[in-house]
Amino acid sequence: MAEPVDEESGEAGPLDLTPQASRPQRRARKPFSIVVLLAVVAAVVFVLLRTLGDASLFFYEVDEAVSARAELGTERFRVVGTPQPGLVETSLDGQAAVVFTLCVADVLADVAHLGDPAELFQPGVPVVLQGSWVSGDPPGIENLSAAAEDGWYLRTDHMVVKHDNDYRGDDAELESCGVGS
Amino acid sequence: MADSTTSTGSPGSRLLGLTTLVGLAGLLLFAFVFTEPDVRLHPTTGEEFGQFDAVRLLYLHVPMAVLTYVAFLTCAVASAGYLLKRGAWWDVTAHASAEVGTVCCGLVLVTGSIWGRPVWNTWWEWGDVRLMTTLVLFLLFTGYLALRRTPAEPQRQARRAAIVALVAVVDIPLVNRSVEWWENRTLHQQSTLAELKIEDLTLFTLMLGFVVFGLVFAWLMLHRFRVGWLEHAQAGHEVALAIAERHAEMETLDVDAAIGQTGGGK
Amino acid sequence: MTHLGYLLAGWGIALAVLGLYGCAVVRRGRRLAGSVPEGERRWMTSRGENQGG
Repeated sequence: MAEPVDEESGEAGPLDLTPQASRPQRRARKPFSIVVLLAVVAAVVFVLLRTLGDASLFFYEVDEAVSARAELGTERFRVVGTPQPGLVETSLDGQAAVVFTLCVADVLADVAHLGDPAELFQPGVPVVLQGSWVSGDPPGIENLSAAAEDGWYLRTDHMVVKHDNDYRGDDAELESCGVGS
Repeated sequence: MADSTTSTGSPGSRLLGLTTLVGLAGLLLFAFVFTEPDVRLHPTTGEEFGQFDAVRLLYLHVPMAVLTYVAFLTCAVASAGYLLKRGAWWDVTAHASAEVGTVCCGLVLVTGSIWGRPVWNTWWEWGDVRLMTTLVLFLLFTGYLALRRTPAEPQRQARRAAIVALVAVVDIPLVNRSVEWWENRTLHQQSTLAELKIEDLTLFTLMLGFVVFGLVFAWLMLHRFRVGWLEHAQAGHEVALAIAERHAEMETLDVDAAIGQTGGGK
Repeated sequence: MTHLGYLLAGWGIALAVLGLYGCAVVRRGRRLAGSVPEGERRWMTSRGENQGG
């Protein structure tokens, strides 16, 4: 086969087999892909900062929250524990509140939760509460059968349920702690 | 039905699709009709408690989560295969499984959020390690898919994507183990199956969910792989056409040059 | 049935997304299949179809 001719110079040159065809319909959406890629990187950074930067993430167990009461002071924190049977519906500072006792093993802490409790809030099902320590007794504590009554209570305003992984119906085991659970 | 020569369907995939649809109908029956809601009686107060009917999201959410793992692990294995063998089959498999896995992972986040609202009392908790590591996994593979659409020479792009997949897949053990390693940093329960805290029809329906969504996954993978293979073949076909066009141009120029030389000699 | 809205939303969104994604994949395949030589679409032809041309 003869050497191909360079179109500009008219001289013969090596055969250029570099594919010349392009796909314009793909090219059109490539800048968008770069924007998506940058957005994803920004989102990952945002998520990491949000995860690592929020000091209130850690859930104290009730016993840890009780022993760290002095250093926690009036700071807001999260605490996980199991509500004991017994719940008093009352009001605190003009807001609806529920008063109950939280426990881990044999350590108890009284709680006054402002607002409605979670839909599936039940004795024996652990909850994570967010709030701070307050000195004194919450209203209606005298109606609880096994309250801590140690001169302090947790005043909380955010409640989420930490549900167990048991799907065996009535054979399911409940967290056992405190008195009567 | 489409002509079998102009679609990604085949007799086998159609049979698989039909079986999947029948399986889905059966799963819906078991999930919504035959199984009981999660209702227990409190031993002390005698009150009903549990997840009630919200538990029916278990048969959807858990299989989707497991399939997300399967898809992204397949992507990682295929990516490693591509880096070792440099074959198109590995690259197309990695791309297909990443795309199907990202869809599954997105659904895990959405169904988990919908399940979390009635059971946990929250749609989403920033900082919860299980939720965060899953979100990061989703974002990493969204990034992988975006990377695959950026302008680059195909082999280089496949190599870059394979490396990103192998990095991203490191998040999977973090997602899976987070409920054990950081128990006090997540609302998410620990594994039910590992501790076998499930039995009877609830267990059967969950297993059926694994099988049926496994079939959905297989059908999606099959078709997405074929789409990837067609894209690969189309690119190769375009290159072959371009080369043939250049050859034809060169031959025309040869003839013209030959005619010119002949004419010049007269 | 309790939590019906959540159940319909969860199952509905999941099945709709999977269905739409499946349809989108099949459509992409149909669009591409015509532009690729038949030799590259081995799964699309059964033995009988090959014999029939």
